[in-house]
Amino acid sequence: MKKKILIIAGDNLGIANKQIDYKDFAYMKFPVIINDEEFKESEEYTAAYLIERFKKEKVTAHTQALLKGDLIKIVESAKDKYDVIFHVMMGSRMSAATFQMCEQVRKEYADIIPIINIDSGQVVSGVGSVLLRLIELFKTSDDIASITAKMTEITEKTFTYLCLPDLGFLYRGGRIGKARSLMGSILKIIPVVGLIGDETDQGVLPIGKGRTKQAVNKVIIENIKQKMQKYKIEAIKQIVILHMEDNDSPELKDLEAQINKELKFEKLIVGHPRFCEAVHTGPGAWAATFSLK
Amino acid sequence: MNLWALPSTCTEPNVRIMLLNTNKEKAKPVITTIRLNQILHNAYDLLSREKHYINNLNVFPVPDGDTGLNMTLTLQGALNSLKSYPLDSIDIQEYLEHFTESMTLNSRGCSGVILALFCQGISKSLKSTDKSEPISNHHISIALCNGYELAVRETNDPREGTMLTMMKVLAERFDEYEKKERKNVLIIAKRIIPDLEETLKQTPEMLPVLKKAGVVDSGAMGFLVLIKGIAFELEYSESIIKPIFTIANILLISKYVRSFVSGRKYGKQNHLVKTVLTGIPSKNISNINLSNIINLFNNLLQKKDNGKLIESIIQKSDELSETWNPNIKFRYCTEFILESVSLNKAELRSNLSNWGDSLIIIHSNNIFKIHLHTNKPKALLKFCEGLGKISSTKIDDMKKQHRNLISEDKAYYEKDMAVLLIVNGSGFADILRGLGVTDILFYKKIKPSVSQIQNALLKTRAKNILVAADDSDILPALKSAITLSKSNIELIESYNVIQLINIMYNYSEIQDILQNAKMIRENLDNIKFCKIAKATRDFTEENITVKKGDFFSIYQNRIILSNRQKETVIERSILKLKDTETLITFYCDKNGNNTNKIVSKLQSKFDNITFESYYGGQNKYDYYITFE
Repeated sequence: MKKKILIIAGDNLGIANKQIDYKDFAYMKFPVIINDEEFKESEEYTAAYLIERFKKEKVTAHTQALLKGDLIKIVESAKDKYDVIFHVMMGSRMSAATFQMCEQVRKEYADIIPIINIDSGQVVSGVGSVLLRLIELFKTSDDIASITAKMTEITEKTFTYLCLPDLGFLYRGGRIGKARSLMGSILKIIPVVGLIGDETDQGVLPIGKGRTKQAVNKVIIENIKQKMQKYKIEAIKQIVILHMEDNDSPELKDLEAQINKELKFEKLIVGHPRFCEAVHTGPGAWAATFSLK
Repeated sequence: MNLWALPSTCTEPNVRIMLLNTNKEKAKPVITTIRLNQILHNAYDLLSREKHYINNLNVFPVPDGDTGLNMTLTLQGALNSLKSYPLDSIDIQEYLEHFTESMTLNSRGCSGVILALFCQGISKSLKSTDKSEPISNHHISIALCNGYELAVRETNDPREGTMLTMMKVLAERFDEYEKKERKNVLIIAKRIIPDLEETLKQTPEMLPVLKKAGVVDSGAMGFLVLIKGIAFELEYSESIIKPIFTIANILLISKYVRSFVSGRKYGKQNHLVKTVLTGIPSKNISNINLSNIINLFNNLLQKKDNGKLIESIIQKSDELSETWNPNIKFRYCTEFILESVSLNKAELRSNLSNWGDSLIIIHSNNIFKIHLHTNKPKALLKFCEGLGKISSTKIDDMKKQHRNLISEDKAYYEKDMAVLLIVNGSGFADILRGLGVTDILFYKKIKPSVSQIQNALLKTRAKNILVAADDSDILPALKSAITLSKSNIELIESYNVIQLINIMYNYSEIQDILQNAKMIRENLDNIKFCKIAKATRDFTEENITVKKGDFFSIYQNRIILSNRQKETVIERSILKLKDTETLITFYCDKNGNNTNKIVSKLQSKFDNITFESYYGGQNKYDYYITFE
């Protein structure tokens, strides 16, 4: 008999809910504090809303950890309906508080319903990409052990690159990590930072820098080519790209063109920016996630 | 007799570890996670302050003078990685687990790796604690024993008289005192310090090489400093630093005494040499062997022609010199992380043991942290690439480090890696700093000398230095300075400032020096650029005639055009060189006041190109113009 599986995630996915082709899906919203006032994602409060306020009002914003109550509410209503819950989380290094809370809930419900917390090691489109790969696996198997093992392999081969014209947002959000070394340049540069699945350091890492949008897109392509070479990958399983303001922007179009020209891949998805993600990227940012295997 | 054996309590099978007092009714946590974090930070601060003193004691297994730095960097890496953790919401076991994992990943040198093993043993032991109850001193005692046992078991050829002995004494005494006195863990730790100090004093008796070198063990000293920091034994204002001669001074004094007693005559200086040697205040001599030599020398001066005393002085002096100048069999201290799901530790050990000595492997989940002294580090890394995924590689040249340790102008290392760029133009210096250069040697008209470059290399205080200059004329001096430096240096043979900017585009602080050098060399010429200059005489080159006062444009070391008007030269150069580039940047010299005017004119002519201008401050050319 096929197992009934619920997937949970936060709203920091880099893809829209409508792009998630799985009916048993529940998600939680990260609280976003703008000028000391709490907001959560809605039709009104979107990435575009926050970026507009960043530009016009110079507001300050930060995110808070997911609320335990929100998670418990979901688990409580699911415990009798499902056999198992998979929770796809952002990288534990990116929000240790959220990770700890989810682990606590998993332990508290250990005798009631198995919860499998998947540390995606990712943010933005990286989390969404890992989620989509998980859904893909459910289509072929419901063997929990083999899915869990496969997910470890998938997260290790997932690489997200973020082009952030203003690293100040990442810094103020407390996520700068080693990417701090890219700050403070007199030259106008576009830093590329990454969440690199096969690195032992799961924080935000400095990847490179360029002076033009094409140049930083090239940095991304060259980096992923090296990874493909390292793992002897012919074609990338899935790519998710998105721009925080405009998916039709020249830089995202250029990235798409470079991907089409330089890389072999099975699937390319244009994602969707989420409210809480804009807190850390700021305006003008774009991202790409590559799921190699 | 098993030298490494511990009290029987430590071998209790499957003891479930709880924190704190054995009196459960009154149990309350002795230490919170936040407090533990403070304690470890205090220990780190103390260790960091004493690291140079500890470095100066480092003679075993190789006198490369980096024990203090390695221990400091190991602890620093672990504490930094915990900054993002919500300390108020994780328990001590979780804290220690993260701390130990980061320590393993950040561990450096024998001392760092053994310390990480010790912490891993403690963490594993405490992980099985029943979290509903506080941790008892008894369980801390067992954890210390487990930490010690793991460190001994995983160290190849463990020796008494090292940090391992200190770990054993700590575990034994803690076990003894916690049974006798039910006191706060920090009070017990404080009580143990005299025992540890006594053990440290005994290390030269346990390890002959230490006795010959006249020092206590550096790792053991580092461990004592850590425990003192943990026990808040020392207030921050206090210091354990004693007056100390450098190794070079110690060897020099010993050499003088030896030649004096061997009958060497210093002529008129004879009396002076004798006065100097007998006048050395003994409190300034922290080297035990040298202190003995000086005492014997003073005795000799009172008992003339005592052959035995002379023989003894010569023997001790020779031992001192030989010990600090050993034949280093395996030159490179090599460390890396290897990830593999299929490998087991025994298999890995047998695969690696023939590559060198001082092999230590820490294993946690699928991650192996490997430390090994070898003569073929690059081949070793290549071999290991076939076994799994390699990362966090680090290769230290111990011969260079040893030369530094015993030299008179010893470099005091503070970090693993630095980038030193030699550049003309204060604007460029600022731009490069902004791109992440750690050290700049700035020159104006006169190019830096060998000695200036040597000083700049020394000032980086880094074990590994990536170095480059903006002019090929500097290369000979740079190469000479490199041969004199004690750091491990990768020279990038660049010859213009645009390449220096490109070096920083490609430099990544998460890669080691070799990976960085490879990436930089592959991309060194990626930025297209031309230079604009004003002729100071008439000349013809490449069929282009240039008159004095004309402006001309140079691309790839060839003159491509010239004109009386600067703006014309610039515009024509752009038309000639631009391809699909979208950004053109001007770096002007100090006379480039009207650059903004030129740039805005150009901007109106070239719609699809963004123009930017910066102050470079260079001497030779009016402009560097880059096309990106």
